[in-house]
Amino acid sequence: MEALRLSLLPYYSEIKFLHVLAVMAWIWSTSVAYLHYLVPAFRAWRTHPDDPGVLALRDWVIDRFDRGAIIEHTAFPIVITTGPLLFWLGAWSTDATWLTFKLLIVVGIFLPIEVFDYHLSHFAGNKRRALARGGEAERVRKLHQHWWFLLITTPTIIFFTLIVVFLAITKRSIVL
Amino acid sequence: MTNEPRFSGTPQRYTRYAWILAFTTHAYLYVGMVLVEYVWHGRTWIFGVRPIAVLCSMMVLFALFCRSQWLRLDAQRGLGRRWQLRAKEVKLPEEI
Repeated sequence: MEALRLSLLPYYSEIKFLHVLAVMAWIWSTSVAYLHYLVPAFRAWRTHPDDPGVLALRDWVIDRFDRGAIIEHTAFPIVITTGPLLFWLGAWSTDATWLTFKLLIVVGIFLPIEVFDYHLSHFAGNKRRALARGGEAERVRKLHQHWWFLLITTPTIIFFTLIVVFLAITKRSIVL
Repeated sequence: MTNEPRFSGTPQRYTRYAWILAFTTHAYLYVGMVLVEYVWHGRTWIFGVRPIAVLCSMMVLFALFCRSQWLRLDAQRGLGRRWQLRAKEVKLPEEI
């Protein structure tokens, strides 16, 4: 293992480049679609829940959003693969309190969110698949579930991403 | 009119969920730090007044932020409430 680490060590900066690039794609790739397309369509649905035109637009937007999440969900496995690799190559340890706190956020908060997001966007929670499997009622059920998910995770992601990125860049000890 | 079931989100629920989410996430982070810093490394700074005060402040800030965001996102208040619905006949592209 030590021989492998030493052979990969010269590429630490390149792996870090890949890690940061993937983090950027993970953070930002869905933001415009979410804020300026999905949220207005869902706000219109919440204020006009019976309008057939609003429902058609909402369904179309969430279907597009499910597909658009592919960029985010390609980047995330790169983030969680290159992150531990950098930890190992750079001989980092939990002596760095900023890193411990950051890893707790990534593993305990971001990882479960992303697992459920994969489910909702690409697997059984995908609205197109739900429609094919269980008809309109199943699709609407999944759509409600997805809106709950987006509501709950939006401030969570914003709040904790700011902390994680701040700690990753400043590497400031959090011992108070 | 459609017979679609109503979405279960309400301002009261958002307030309750905001505090539950803020408490659970910050309790998890504190317990995680205690396990690493005290149980693993034997450091006691984590039990000081300042880390606990900072974490409690973060928790309150997060709860208020969550509630405010949810009410705005879900059209309960803020920008977007006064948006108008203008009927237009459009064709939405679908992939087959």
